[in-house]
Amino acid sequence: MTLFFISLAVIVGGALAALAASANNRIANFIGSAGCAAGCALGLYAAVDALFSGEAPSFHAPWSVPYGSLSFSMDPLSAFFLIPLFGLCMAAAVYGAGYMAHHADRRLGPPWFFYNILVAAMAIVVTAGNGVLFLVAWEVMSISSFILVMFDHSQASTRRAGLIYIVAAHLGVAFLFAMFILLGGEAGSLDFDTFKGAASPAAAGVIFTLALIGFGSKAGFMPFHVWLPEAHPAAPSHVSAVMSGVMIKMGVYGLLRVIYFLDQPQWWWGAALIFIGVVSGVMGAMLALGENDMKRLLAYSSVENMGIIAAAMGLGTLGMATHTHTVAALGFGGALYHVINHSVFKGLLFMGAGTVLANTHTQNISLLGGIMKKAPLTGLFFAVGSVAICGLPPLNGFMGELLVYMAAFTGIKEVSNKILMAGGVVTLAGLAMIGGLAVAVFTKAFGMAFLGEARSEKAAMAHDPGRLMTWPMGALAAMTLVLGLGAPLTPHLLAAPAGLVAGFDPSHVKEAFDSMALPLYGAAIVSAALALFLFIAWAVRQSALKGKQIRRAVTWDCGYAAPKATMQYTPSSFAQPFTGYFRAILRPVSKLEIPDGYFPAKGSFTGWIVDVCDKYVFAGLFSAVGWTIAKLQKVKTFRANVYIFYTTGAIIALFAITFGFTR
Amino acid sequence: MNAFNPASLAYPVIALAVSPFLLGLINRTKAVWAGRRGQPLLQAYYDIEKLFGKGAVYSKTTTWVFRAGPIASLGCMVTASFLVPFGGNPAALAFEGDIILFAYIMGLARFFTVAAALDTGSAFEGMGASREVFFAVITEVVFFLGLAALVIQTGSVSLSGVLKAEGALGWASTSLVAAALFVVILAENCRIPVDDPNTHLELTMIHEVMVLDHSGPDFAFIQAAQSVKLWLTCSILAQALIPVMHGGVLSSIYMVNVVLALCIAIGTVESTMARLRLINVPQLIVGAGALCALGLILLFR
Repeated sequence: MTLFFISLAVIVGGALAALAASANNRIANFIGSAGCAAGCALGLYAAVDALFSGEAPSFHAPWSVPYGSLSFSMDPLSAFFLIPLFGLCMAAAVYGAGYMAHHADRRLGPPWFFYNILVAAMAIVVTAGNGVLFLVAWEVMSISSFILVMFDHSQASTRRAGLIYIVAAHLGVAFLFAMFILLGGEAGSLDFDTFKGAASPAAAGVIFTLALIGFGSKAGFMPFHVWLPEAHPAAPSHVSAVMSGVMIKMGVYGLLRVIYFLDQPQWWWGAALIFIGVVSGVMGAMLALGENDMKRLLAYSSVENMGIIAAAMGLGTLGMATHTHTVAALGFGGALYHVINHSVFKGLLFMGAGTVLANTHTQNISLLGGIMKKAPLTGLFFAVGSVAICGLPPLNGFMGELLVYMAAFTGIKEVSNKILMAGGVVTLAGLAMIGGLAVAVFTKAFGMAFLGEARSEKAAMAHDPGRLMTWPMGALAAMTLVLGLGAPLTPHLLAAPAGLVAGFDPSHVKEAFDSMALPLYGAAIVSAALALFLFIAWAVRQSALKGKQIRRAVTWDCGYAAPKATMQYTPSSFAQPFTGYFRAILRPVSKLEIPDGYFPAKGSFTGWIVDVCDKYVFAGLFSAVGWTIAKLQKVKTFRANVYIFYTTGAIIALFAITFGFTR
Repeated sequence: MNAFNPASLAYPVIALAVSPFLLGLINRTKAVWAGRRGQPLLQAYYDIEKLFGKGAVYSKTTTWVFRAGPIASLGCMVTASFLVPFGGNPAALAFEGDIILFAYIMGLARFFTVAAALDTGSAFEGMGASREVFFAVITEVVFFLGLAALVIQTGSVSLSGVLKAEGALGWASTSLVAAALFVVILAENCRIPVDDPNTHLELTMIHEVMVLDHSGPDFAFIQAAQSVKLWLTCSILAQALIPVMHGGVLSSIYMVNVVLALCIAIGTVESTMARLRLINVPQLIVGAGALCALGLILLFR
């Protein structure tokens, strides 16, 4: 635990030093990022050590705040979440040092201060052992990330994004307050070690629902995802990587922690999680497909991946509720593995998009194209990230999804248990559809932005960045392969946290995870075979072409005399079959100016999609709130005696309520 | 079930060697229906050999992604052939969960074919790529629902276990699933009524238009990969339809004949049907999904 606190001290120290050095941008940029990276490295070591040694170090100290205590603990679940947290934040800090140099016209001290505070707050969120401490850290996390989102506050769109984000974050935390009050009331204390199994079955259902909304809004589950596609694109790219790769996982951590506290789940919790997961996964992927802004596309893709995690947690919960240990272990194991995987490849993809943005000053895919030739390294890393996030072998995305698929199939095989069977079939169909959609999304993102010819002058300005930015991307790209081929070793890593959540005794954990190892070994062996056959195919092609005539020509242009880059298929046209067929969800809107006259000079087409949740759910909700508030304006009289009357009334009401409760 | 079956290593070799013949058989079937003599049965072999001996033309627009497309296609199909059992014998590599791996290796091949098409910057190829990923979304769901029905019946999550059922299969759900899988085969292998492998009008094509720019050995790879895919998908359907309980050489020969019969059926469908309008293709595949769902509901009793 000492090492963990030292790492926090280094990170916070870096934050303060960066703020103090604000006058000199170069020093602030160096101190902020180096402090964060060094602290993260220490923390990573502490977390890995805690997870592998099987010990759960903890620390307790009194705190003058009512109901609060300075309790920290690093049980397997906390330690597990610290690994992607420190790992990605370290990579993003190094990348950020290179990235922020592009913004040298701004003061870099404050952004680094808030970045490091964000990292420290997240580390406290996953280790906090007391409700008050947890909520304080949670708020610090939300506020520091809000300030980072507002980095580009001179733009109206950024201010709008920041507003939506801060409102969404606080609506979410309101549910968490209610949840902790209820849970603390049942347990008689806000310390986490009193929570386990304390809630009565009736209260447990309410607590779970509150947690699902509160933590789900941070995790970006549909329909609480609306802040995600606004806030992630607005933030600087290394912050987007951390927000998408790690911060939204805090919601997953919270939900898993609550499932652990509540001990005896009911089957409908699992069903609700599976439903939310499949809806988030499918709709997130579709909205990503309709999106032409690279970072918004990646943000929607995060909604999709959180859907996969939610569905996996749902299977795990169903397995717990029906006492089917294998399904529970595979479900929670798959969810945890996907947490790590998503942080690796989504971090990588946001960094790739950030590199393009830094050079070309646009993240509109319709203006990009041909970047692979200008920035081959960035293109390669983005390609690796795309293959990984599509869940294709031999990279890590596949291995995580394999566990979830196995959970679903194992559930389906339990013929005597119809609930489990239905949950399995729904998850299976959802995953299959998500898998297909992900390929469509990322062939679009990668193919349209990086391949073909440059569609604009801006796109032609792309180039590979310096080592500070390429090395973190390269490291993350290598991690996708390591976590893919090394998958057979992960059950040992997943066993402790997944077993903790599911409440297994050790013999069940071992049995369940032994069954998990075999598919992973098989997949790794076949992946190795795949690599071998790809190499053989490459070698055969090389020898077949040896000594033959190889010509360079233009792309087959079907009789056109002057092929131009603007004649390429556009991202919108690539997505058109989907936007047409799924128009009930995607709501395509277009503005068309038809060329007119004998020598038409002008014609234009603009198309975009509308997020149904955004437009029909929340817009309606907030206009209703606005209407109510406008009505309430009438009670404002600007006369002191009336206000004194209100205040007295409120105090009397409070007394009555308190008396009613304590009687 | 053993994870590794050395005796079954013959099947990937057979898949690679025999599969181009299936294309010839389908073409001959279509010729007979049309009253023509048709091309030689071994035409696909001649084509692949000829292309293999040629040089290549590459567009100036393309990068390594374009060259990776054919390599990935063939490499993935060969790898997948190690997972598919044949004639009651388990596959060379068989383990719980290989079903999922099989589907996703197909997905990897698709990813690189589509990326290679987009690398040319051609509007035609972009169009084909867009259609390919769109139809794949729905076919993948149908494929997995069909597999779920087989998994429930057999209690195994391995192709080798699912396709060599020891228990009695419910005929009703099996025939529903088999009908759906037949549609999946037509869609995945770009056959009529989903796609027309013989057309030369780019606007109407899906797979063929994606590979317009490939030439020489690259195109030979694509042709070979396409025929292996046809072999693999047909042999999965053949074994789901008529499971052979006892392995051995005789049942393998029997199963080859079932696959050939399936190809004649595909040729017959191609001769007696027109290509569907593109906007109607999803209806066909969703219809197949409905058959699978019905098959699943029968098993839920």
